[in-house]
Amino acid sequence: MTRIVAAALAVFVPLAIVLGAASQGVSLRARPAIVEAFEERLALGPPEVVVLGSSLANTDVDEGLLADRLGVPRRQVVALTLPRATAPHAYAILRNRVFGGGHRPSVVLWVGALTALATPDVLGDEAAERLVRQLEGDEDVLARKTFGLGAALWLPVLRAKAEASRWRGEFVGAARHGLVGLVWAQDPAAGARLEQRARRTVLREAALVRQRAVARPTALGLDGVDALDLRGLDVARDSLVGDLVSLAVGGGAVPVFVRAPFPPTHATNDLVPAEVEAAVIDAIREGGGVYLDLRDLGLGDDAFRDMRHLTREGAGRFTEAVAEAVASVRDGRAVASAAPGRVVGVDGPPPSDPAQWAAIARALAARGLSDASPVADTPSGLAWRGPRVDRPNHPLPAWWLGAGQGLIVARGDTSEATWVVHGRRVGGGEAVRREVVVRGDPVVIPGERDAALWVEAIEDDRGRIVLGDPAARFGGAARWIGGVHVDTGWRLATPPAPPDIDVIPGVGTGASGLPALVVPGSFAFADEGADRQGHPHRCSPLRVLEDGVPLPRPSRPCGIVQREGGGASCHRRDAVLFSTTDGTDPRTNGRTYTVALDRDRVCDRRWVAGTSPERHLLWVYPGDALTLPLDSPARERLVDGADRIALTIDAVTARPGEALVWTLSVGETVVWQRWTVADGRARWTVHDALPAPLPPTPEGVVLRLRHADRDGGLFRIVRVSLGGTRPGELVEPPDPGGVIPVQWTQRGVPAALSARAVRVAPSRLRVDVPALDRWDDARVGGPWSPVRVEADGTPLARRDLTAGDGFAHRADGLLVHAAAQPRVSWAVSDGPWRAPDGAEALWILPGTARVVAFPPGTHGIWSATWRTADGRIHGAEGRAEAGPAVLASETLALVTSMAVSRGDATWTVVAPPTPRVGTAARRDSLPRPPGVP
Amino acid sequence: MSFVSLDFVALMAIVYVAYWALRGRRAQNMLLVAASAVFYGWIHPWFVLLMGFSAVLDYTVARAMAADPGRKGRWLGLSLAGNLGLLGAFKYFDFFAANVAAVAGALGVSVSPWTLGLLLPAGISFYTFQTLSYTIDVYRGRLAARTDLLDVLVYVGFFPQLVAGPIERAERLLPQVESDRAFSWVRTRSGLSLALWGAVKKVCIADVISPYVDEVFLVEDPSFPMWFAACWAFGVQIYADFSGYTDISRGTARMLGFELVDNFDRPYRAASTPEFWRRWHISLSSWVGDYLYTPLLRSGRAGPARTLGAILVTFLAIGLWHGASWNFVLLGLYNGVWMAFYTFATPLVPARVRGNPVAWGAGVLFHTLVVLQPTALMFRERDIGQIVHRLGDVAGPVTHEEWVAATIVASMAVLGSLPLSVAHAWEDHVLPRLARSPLLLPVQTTGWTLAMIVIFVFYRDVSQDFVYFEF
Repeated sequence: MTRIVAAALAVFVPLAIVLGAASQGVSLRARPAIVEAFEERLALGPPEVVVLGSSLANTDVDEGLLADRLGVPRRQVVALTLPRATAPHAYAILRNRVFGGGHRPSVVLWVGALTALATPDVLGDEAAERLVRQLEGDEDVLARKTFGLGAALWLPVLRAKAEASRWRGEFVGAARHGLVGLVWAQDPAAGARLEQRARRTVLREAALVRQRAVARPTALGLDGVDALDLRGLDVARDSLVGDLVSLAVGGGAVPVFVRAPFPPTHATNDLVPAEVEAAVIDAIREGGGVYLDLRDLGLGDDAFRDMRHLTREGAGRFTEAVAEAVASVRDGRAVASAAPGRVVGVDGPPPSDPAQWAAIARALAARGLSDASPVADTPSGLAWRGPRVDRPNHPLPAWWLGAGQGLIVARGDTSEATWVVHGRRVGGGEAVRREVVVRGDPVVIPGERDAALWVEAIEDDRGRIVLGDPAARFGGAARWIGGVHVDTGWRLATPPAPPDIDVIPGVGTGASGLPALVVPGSFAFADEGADRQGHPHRCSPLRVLEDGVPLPRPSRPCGIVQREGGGASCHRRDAVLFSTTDGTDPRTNGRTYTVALDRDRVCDRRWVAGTSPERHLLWVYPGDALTLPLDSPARERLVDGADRIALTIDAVTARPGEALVWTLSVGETVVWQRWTVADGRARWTVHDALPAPLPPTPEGVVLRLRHADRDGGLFRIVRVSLGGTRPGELVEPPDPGGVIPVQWTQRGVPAALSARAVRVAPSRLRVDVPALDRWDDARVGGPWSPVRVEADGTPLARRDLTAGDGFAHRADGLLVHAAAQPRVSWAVSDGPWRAPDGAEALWILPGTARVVAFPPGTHGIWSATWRTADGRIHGAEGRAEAGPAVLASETLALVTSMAVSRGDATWTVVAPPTPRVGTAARRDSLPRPPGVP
Repeated sequence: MSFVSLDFVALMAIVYVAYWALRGRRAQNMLLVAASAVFYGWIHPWFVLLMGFSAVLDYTVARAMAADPGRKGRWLGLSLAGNLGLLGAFKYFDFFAANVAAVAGALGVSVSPWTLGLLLPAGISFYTFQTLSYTIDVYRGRLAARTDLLDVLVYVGFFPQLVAGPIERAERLLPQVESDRAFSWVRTRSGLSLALWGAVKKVCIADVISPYVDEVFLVEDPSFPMWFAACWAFGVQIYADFSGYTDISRGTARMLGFELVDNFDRPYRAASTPEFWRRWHISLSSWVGDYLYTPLLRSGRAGPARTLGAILVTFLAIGLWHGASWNFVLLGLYNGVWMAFYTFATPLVPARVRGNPVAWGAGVLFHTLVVLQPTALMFRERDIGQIVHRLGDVAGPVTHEEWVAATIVASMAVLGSLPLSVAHAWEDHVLPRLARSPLLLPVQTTGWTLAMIVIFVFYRDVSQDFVYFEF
């Protein structure tokens, strides 16, 4: 009997549990809350424009602004977005909420990453649950493409699962909130609020900071969801793009798909294989939709609140562009691409086969891509985008081209033309000019093997900007442009990360109540990472001073400055983060905060795993010269004296292009000099023969080191050796007893600046020259500049790496570098100037005109082009026999070409303007901090 | 194939029905080999070839040892070279190459690390140790070489314990493979209960805690309470994860008529490092104890130095067994040092103190809070610089939000610990009484139903793989 009862219980108790769960606990609500919310929002309409997408669409599109620009009431622009939404969500919402609810918008707008549009999948459980809530009965398309099973059979299970997940979240959340609330507020109900705040301040944001610092090329999902990998996706068969287009078109709406921008430093968040991208675009256009790529709106990192989402200001700019496109669609006009050409990386084998090139060209033509259109075609595989990025201390954005990389360019027609690529070496700033003959076939323009380049513009043979400033496009002769590795073969290029990837945006007052302020500016120290957590050389010399007194906790990890308070500080390349000593807001507490360099800073000898104690590390500031005495008795063993020298130095923080000047002297006599430019390697080694053997006996042999460029850096002297032919090499370790015998013979002048200033430039003088507008050495190539500078009446040379004094002509003024403190005067004079290669140029000073007279008997049509600082090219032409040519400009302009159709013109300056001379005041005359002479 | 997937449920259901429908041990073994190939090849088909190579190699080597006892040593060397060579190539070569390049770089010689970039076959460390135990035992004369290759294939590739153990000894599992198995309803029920409980531990405890731990380890510089709480939670997570896997493994094996060793004996009740390693991953610690530590201890001259050396080498091996990275090297050495400390210090403590419950409790507390948390940190954090930094920065200031964040994670550890503690109490106090009661059946069916419901509720499609799959 007992066994029978037990058997009955064994059957019926589980049965009762299952039935109870099915009828009570796991029952579905008739209308999920989100569905009701969407329907209420639509009911306010009628909707004219429906915005679909993920949180990107939510933050990036300003509905009010979009409505204003389209001239419709605010309620007629309806955003139905879901976090982490992909194409299946858009399809379900459009089908069941919009059209299923009887609404008939004229435009359906998808905003988001192309990955999210192309994929038929959902990003994790929560996204799946959100999708299931939007489903209604028969969902053949989603069942087949997204769930991969029969919807009729599985939909109830999926819904139950969605409801169960909600229940799980509530259960775990309630238990957790209860414990947290009990511990910290003696109130279980307070747990949720406490958690939310803690998550926002110390978990999510800190994680974002870490991700920014790492700047990985793929998106890092906080929820453990990996970035989408769309390789091998068959768009026609698997993707929902075609279904979305037909659904929208069938409902009487024009579908507009907008590819959203990402921060330049995270441009690779939206990696899509080229063939998938092309197929998606094809599917959209063939179905009657519009595809718009707005990645190159020129939005910098500042326009983003995190790795994906735009700030309010950024969203405004983005929405303006979207509105223009939508307005075009509504008016029946073609949508113009807002993006200029862009750098595209390529992987796979080199397309050396002409047939492959031809196939690419056909593919472009088939897609109707006009010249200078955004193109992401690559022969195979993944492509990365290399958007133009803002450069530090430079007003003009440029493309970053890594060492060893090159560009591919092709021309729209097959005639031959010579193009010129203008760039600058990163770090040193030397202008780089590359000429290349282009035709219809793409050709490779090699960059620099050992240095990165900023590529600023490409000019065609008529001086027109082919690719550069979008505003200056003249028909856009560039068909496409791509980045390749030219010295290592073709391969998937690492996303080109410019050096300025680590900018922390303004944080403001921390939620913890401790204020922390990011000083945006351009701390162009070459100490990238010197204050970064985990960096073995955390010994930055930068100090923040509060009313002249250094804050007590320098060089703290940036992640904890905010919570640590009490005068902690850290810095990255372009920002200083600090907290005040008493926790007040530095913007309002009335104190003065300055930033200064501590010239006596030495590195902590801290043990860090994997490294030895740091001993030989030295900060060298601009203008510094340090001396290594080489008077060692051991040198006497070199019977015939030393005839060669070898140096090994680790450039801990150097960036490519920085230079060190080495001088070997006996007494005051320089016997050897050489300068070394960093090329990106961590270790430099110099082997050189001395011009004359160094006798073994004299005293006072010193090796001097000067940091001749940029703004200082951290170096480790590894080894200095002198060698002789007999009896052999003599090695003089610089640190026989653990101490480098350094004598400072000259120190740079540490600078201080107020928190509102924008530059730390020890021993440098910045002079505002408004007349120069935005011209600088970068634009005019140095020697062509019309600027001349005198120091105490003596002309200063343009920046010279081997000399201490000099000046650079920068966009924001003149940067004068002088060890002494001279009175500086400057002048802008006209040319013509002759460049090193023999070419001539002519300046037109602001508000003046150049009058060029032709020799008697000159006949033919003259034409001239001149360029202004904004990149625009101006032109004029006339007949030479009609009289002198008059070239006038309201702003400073550079005449780059002038010719007569028959015979060469001779430039005759009829009315030379008088050079204007001004004087400058020192700008770094702020009070020096204590301890800094 | 993951144990907590519909794929595995379907495979197990098919195998179970077919297995007991077949008559004869040999036919059942053939089915097991086929099922193991499907199970293992589900991840990557060529993994099966690799495992098959190991099994055939050791079968051949053992036969050769039996046929030519005079050259047993050479044959054993061949087995060791083959198995450890595979393990080295797949698991350790890239680590070695990268470090050689790093050292060369530090010396000023620029060398591009020549790495293989091979995908690590799941469970290679487990079945390599398992198959090695067979040849070593044959070499030692503790086991006769098997003549039937099929039996050896079942032993090496038995799918319930293939990818994450327990590491079964040949002398224990092979006799079961070679014996006839009779269907038992009681064993099936017991096995199903164990497997479902294992799945509950994985899905409802480990996978629920995991995101919270991950969140803290994403933070650039978590304060001491945060990482400490995360390590605590990770301890609960990995215990639920690994013991959950072991329970599923043992449960499914039991349904097929096999009895596997238990891998855990309430490890967080350990009061010392030696005791912990007697309770945690028992099959691994006993393996290295028998095949590495004991031989090392018996070699050379006896003394504290030799004991210390044997301990450190053994734990270095345990650390490296877990993975080819410096954090695991550190983990091994760290535990080795504590093991040595307890080994030498315990005899100095009077017996009456050792037997005192209060002292035992203090020992458990000390071991759990002071010894184990850094172990968890070394296990979870791969960046050795971060490990050193966190251990060296325990006294930094902590904000209120950080305390709250730590409490969030700690509360998940508490919530996760509760069902585990209840299960232990159930096992100690209820199950023995219930075992002979007619109510066992309804309790079991009710438990299965509840387990399936909570698994349904808690299961997430993007749930984490079992942590030990990567070893």
